[in-house]
Amino acid sequence: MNLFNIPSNELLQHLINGLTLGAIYSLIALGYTMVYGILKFINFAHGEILMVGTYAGYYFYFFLYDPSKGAAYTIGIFVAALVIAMIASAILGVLIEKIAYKPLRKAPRLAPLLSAIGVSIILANLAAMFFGTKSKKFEYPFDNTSIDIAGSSITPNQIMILAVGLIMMAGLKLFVDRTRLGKAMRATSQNQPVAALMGINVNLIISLTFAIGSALAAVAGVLIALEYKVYPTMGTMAGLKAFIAAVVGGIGNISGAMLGGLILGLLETFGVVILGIPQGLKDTIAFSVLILILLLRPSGILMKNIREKV
Amino acid sequence: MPLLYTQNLRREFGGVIAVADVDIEIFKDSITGLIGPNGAGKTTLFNTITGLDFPTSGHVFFKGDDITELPAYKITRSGIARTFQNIRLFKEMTVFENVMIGRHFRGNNPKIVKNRFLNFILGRINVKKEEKDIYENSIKWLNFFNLIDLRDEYAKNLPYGKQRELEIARALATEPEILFLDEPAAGMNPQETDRLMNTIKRIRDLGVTVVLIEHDMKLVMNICDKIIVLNYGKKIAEGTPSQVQNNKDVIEAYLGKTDE
Amino acid sequence: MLNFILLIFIYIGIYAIAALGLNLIVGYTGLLSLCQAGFLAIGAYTTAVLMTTCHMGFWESMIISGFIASLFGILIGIPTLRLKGDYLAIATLGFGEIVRNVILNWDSVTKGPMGINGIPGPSIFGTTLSSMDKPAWIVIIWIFVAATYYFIRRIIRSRVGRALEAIREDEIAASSMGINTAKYKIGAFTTGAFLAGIAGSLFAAFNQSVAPLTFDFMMSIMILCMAVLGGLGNSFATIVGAVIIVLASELPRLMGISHIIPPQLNQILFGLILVLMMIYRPQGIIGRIKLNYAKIVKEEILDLEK
Repeated sequence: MNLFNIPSNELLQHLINGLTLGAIYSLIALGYTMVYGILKFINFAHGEILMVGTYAGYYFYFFLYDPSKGAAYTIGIFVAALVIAMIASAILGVLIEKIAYKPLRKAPRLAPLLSAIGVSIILANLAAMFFGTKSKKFEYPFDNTSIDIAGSSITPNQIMILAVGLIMMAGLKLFVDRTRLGKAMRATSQNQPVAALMGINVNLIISLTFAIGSALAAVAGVLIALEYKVYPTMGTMAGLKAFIAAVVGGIGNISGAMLGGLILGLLETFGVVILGIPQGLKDTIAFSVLILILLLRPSGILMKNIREKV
Repeated sequence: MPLLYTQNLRREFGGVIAVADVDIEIFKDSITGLIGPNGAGKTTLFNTITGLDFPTSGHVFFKGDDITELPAYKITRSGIARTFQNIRLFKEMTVFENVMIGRHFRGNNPKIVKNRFLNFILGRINVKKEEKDIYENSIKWLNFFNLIDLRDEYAKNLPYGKQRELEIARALATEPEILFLDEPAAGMNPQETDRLMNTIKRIRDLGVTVVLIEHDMKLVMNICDKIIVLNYGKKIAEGTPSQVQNNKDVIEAYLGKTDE
Repeated sequence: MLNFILLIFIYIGIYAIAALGLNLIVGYTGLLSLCQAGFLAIGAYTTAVLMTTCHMGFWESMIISGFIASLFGILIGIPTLRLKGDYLAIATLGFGEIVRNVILNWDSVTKGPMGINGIPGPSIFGTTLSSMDKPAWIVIIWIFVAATYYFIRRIIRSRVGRALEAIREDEIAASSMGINTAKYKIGAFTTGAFLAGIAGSLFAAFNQSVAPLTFDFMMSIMILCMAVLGGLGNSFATIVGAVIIVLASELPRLMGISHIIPPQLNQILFGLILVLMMIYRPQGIIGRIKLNYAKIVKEEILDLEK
């Protein structure tokens, strides 16, 4: 098969790149979608929660990083850094919900969104103040020399991103579909007052949702950091893109977020190679996709069109 | 010819059929009741007719024109007004303003306002004439419903029964030929319901055709010329109150199947 | 020092015009827009290009800038037909980013990241103003602020304002009252964009240069903060908001302590304003003014004829 006169090995290469990018978007998009599912609002600070977690992981890893202690040690502290990033993001996510969003649950819809925008600005600038605006290199925990397959190359980091992404998403899907807490989450997103009447601790479920979403974002944050370094605004664009992915898939829908992420990743990668969109305008692709999808199918690919109840 | 009629009107939500190929006919100067158990598709039928929802298939004709695809505001401008099951007043606006909004698009009745944006900025004389017309007409409707003393109250501060009346006043201010009332007596006490019955008759006497969804059987049986019964989205009966009261399918729909 | 205070009030005026426009969209109509900086950028760049490349005069450039910005207002207003709340906000944010990206990359017209320099000053009464003529600029800009205030007051006190209020209260009910909600929403967007375009044009002419990085998301947020802080749906409060926000962000420089205050503190302040205002005083410092339209009609129109 030869689409658009691109050699097949290049096609595979772009496919790999697109899927890796997409897996990252998917991981972040899950947080937006889960929160939207339950609170019906966009957690605008999600990207900054990711950034703070990534910094936590980075500093842990940076202080213990010592190549002389061998590969097993490096991998070990990397995994620990990943866990620390997840915990830091989860705690921050829960705290932000309690401080900045919870008092606004009954307020008009603009209020929590504006509050979230405020939180995101505060976090990004605090990070710039305390961690500096210079980006910091997150050393690969392994040799990242790329491997050849069928004429294209894939880096171990890309393999890790795909694998970790897949595991996390499968794990989340199992959790939400199969466990009691997952069932409580679904019930809460369907109908909060009724879920509360059924004895579900809605506040706990909301906190849990923020914790899980934030932790997944932290994983994505560390994975991005390996490739693109750590810096205070790293979460902003990634967060926006992931939000777009969530909208593409159908916000509030977990499978939709995964699918939307992959679609957006592929569109961005192939938009540059096939349509010849200049690299500088790459971000424009995502925003154009967003505006198009909002116009054509505002409820996303996987959601039924729902009209406001009259 | 009926003033308004539907042809095979159907609305599906996913797999659920809310309105199943319903034909209804509304004749001028009549009061038609639309009844049926909860979830029978009555409000959905109203929504598809008034443009707040679009049918999956089928057509709505008003004064001979196909209005199926028209947006809500155009339907209202063509002469169809409605109220809502869960009162949708402009809560933070005054009683007077609510009625003024009802008259928004009619400047010098019955013409539809053609004022351009700049005219509003410049405060041209025809804008003023229209505002005067809106003002005076709103007073007329406030008097009709005895709401004139409450004119500067916020809508949200009115007692429930008054809110329902204000919603009808607002709808009438659009000068409709046909008025759809979605459960106008819901939440009213018996005295208020009696007054409402009287009001609906007065509205009909003004030359406005009325269609209403109602669960209060006393009201429906007393004032309706014709009753249409829906169940599971289908029309199962129609006729005069006494015909419908004795219809076997209707009794079954309301009371369940009885062993004979 | 005096010069610096004049400078601050010039910026307050420019931002106030944009914020008044935004208040029409967010405060009166209830649509959250996050791309006011995008419209400013369009206005500023249109003026810059017209005045440098096309050698047009300032006043005609400014009017064209306003209209071009409002044209884009229509473009972004169209999605408002279907979107509400959060979705609309994100779509406008996306639009703002697209504008910035295009400006950054469209080198042949916008000179890319370098921006456009050497924009001539406007000529008025036979003299050409430069950035140095601050007293003259203050007068010009605050005349525009006053005109904008009056313009919005006229809209709000008319039947159009009443319809916007109804749309903000309950869009579905408004549409079933025969109000063409789409037309009004696009109208609000377009007018808000027009005013931002004018503000952008003044910005470009005053600074005699434009650079793409000026018009970022933070500028949209800053303008939004002005409207929120003063009180949404209140034009006077919006101007007060603009005064407070610009003063607060220039305070360190005004007090001569800018070297010890980290630059991020400013933006943290905007963030805090948004969060704290939403939690403790969502109506803003001054709050919304509820007009009584029946009274307005009675006083301004009925009595007039007697």
